[in-house]
Amino acid sequence: MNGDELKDLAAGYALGALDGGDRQAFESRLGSGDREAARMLHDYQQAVTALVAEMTDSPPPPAVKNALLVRIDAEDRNRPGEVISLPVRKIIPAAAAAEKDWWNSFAGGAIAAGILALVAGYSFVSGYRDQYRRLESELAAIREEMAGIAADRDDFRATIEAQRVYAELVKNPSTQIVFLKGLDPGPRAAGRMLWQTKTGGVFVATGLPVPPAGKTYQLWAIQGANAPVSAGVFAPKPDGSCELNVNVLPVSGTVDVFAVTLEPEGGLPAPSGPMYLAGKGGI
Amino acid sequence: MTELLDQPGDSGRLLEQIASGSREAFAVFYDRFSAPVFGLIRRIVRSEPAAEEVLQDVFWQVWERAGDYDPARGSPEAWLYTRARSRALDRLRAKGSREVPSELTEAVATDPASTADDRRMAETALAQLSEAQRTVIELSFFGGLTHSEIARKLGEPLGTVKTRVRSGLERLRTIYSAERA
Repeated sequence: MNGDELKDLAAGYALGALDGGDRQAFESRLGSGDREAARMLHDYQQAVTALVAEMTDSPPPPAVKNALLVRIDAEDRNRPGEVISLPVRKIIPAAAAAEKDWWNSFAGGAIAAGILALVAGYSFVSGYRDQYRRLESELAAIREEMAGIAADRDDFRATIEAQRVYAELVKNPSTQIVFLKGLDPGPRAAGRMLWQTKTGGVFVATGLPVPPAGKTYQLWAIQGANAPVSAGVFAPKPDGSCELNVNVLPVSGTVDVFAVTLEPEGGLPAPSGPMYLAGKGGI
Repeated sequence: MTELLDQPGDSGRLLEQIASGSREAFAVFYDRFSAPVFGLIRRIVRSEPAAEEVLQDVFWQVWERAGDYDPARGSPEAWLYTRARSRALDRLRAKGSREVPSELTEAVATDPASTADDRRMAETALAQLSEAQRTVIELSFFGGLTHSEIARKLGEPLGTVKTRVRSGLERLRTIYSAERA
């Protein structure tokens, strides 16, 4: 991947515009500690955040903040382990109670009624809280399910997009189709490249051995005596298969040879490792 | 903590405090970012009541998920705006459309000042981009379209779209850098 391609990915990632395969490729680079990718993303994110920061002409109504703070307070009160303390009535010995006058009896009755009201109120509030907690729990489950559905949707869209690109390439008569044969390090491997110079292409392979730790496969496009051009790095699935969307490369005309080598993680500007697949170009 | 809360630049520290349950930090964080987040959401969902609901949802996520923020993945603003954009687009798609809203497409394709929100946008740095750059950035960031979806919608080669997105963002960076300087 050359510098401009990496910039394309970083810019697209900052805007949330990457397709499934590109997004995975860029996140993989970030995850592997690629400082260049992280620096580019940081730069583009600054532009995006500055753009959003300009959109402040009409603040939200205060009711939104109030509702949030009320919700936070309610959550604090409902934290497990907190107990609502009710007023405790002192126990009065029976003999002493008998000495009370009618007013005290009336007051005692009023207090008892008050306590009953408190207990009833507490029961009501407890019931409400139980219901609130149930709803919160159900809401959390629904959110979790929606997050799963959203992830499935993204995967599905990525798959559909990949199939669309593949179909477009297959039905285009000018598509260059290159069959790659497994070489000594991986004789069972096989690959196929569908390539359009102007729009890029798709590379698929099967039977590739799982690369050792710290290594990755790198696809190359070779034209005559020119230096090989990197067409991307990839890791096969556990079953040895892979599918790689390849962006437009800095080559003109048909590619003579596509080849796959084993390289250090992140890839190199020029091939250095053993060659696993190679195939000569042709329409 | 009060000293930290008064420092406008330390939003990451605010998120740490929110993650540990500071209601005060949450209020400061909300005051600092609610206006741009609201502007972003409203731009995407194109409905004031819906934008208020999504805004509340986003900041509730901030309260519950502040601990998820990873400084290695970007600034607190980027983390927040990404969540806001994602929620707003989810809301838009929940209305039954996976496609970018026709209002946005039409606004982008015709007159950048055709609605109140578009008029506001016309005052931002986005308006200083070429029409081609502005179109792809609006379709991706506010419309939720990917590179290939934009290419299909505009009938342009994928590589062209990617280049326009990148050059548009680079132009924005230059504009904002000049403003800060």
